Amino acid sequence: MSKSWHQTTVRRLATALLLVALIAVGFWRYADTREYSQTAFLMSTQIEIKAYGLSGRAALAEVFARLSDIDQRMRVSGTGSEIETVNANAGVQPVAVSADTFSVIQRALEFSQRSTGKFDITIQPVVALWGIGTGNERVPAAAEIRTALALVSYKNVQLDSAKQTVYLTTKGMGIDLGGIAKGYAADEAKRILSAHGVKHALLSIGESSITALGERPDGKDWRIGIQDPVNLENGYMAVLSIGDAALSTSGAYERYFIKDGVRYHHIIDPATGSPAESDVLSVTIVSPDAIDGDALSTAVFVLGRERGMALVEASGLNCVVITKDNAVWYTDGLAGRVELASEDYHYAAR
Amino acid sequence: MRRGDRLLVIVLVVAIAASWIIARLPARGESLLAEIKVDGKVVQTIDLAKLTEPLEFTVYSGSSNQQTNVIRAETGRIRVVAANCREQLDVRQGWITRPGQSIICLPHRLVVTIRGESGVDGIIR
Repeated sequence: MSKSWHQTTVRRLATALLLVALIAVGFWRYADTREYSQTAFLMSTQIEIKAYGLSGRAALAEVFARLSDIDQRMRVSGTGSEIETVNANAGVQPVAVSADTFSVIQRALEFSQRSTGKFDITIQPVVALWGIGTGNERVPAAAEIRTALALVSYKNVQLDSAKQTVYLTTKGMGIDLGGIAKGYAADEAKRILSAHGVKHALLSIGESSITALGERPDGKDWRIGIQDPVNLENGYMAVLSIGDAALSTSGAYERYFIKDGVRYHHIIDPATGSPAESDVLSVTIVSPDAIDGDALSTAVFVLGRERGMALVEASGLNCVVITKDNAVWYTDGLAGRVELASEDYHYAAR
Repeated sequence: MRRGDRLLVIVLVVAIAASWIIARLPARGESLLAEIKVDGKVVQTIDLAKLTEPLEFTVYSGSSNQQTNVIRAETGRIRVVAANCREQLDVRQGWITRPGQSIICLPHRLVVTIRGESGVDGIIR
């Protein structure tokens, strides 16, 4: 009798323990995968961040406050814009800027050097001339382009790290941090999420930049579709599987205008002052830091597939390039991670 | 095992099986939901799969409703056909047809998204 009593108690205990364990596992999964999502229009784009886990909510609040701060400092114009002040003082005097702005310009200049000027933040006067994306697009005269091009050189940006100042040496020069500021913002957002203990997050800073923190909450790789650069309505034409990494895409299919039957896109070659003529339809850089990807994707587009991919590999990063013959190229580091999703494209014969 | 234990085990097994099946059920019917948001708020949802007639309407936004985007929805697809924004990126983008795709008009803070299982966590463009 005592034995059977004993057995019953053990059974009950085991059942109770099992239940507690089940509930604990359930809560643990919930705590780890609870999704918090927030969207805002900042940095002249749409920002969408999904953070997983219970620390996500507080983290997102801090992230968006920080992004709004970066936005204000780095925009090309507007109250509180440090860039506007720097540009207005070109050829006049050095301008003291925040640590944020200083470090972004510093990084931009590094990439300008590395890409031998194919990515150049001082391209702003030429970009302004074309007006692509402003609604006032036009094809400038060759003489106008020559004049504006004379103002373009990253070598004429002088940084003083002791005083944290930026000086553009010639009147009329201008810088536009555009894409690279978004990359910096993504990196800052990721750093804040991580500091709050968020282990999984997906950040989209505009449609051309996606940054992943950790792996997907289910432990698998994130699957990111790459836009079909020819038939836009088809959506994605390939899927890239990534873990903790930043993606940045450049393509000529989004911002352009057509004049007299000629299509002019928004990626200007600093060598010619005109839209880059390239064998590249779209390039996606995969890098640990988003800021690197934004600078490099522009450079690869301008350089073309072969020299562009060499630059990416020399920088220790990876990329996917889609060329005009509908071939999909990728660096060795992405082997097994690029999956075609459209019959219009094929892997490049390598 | 007593009757109570047995009952508990049965209830647990049934509950687990049921939740497993429910989680794997395909979405009911063939639906393709397009969602139109202005400044983060949903202003309209349309089931593109169930549309029999084309639908064209204007979304007004901005402080005095001076911003306009004319949306056209047809069976299985949706686009912005006209807008009074500067860049016209939304109009130029044309149709979207698949879950996960979206059209964004930044100056008007208008977003058209097709919801549903897209097979990817995001699309980069």
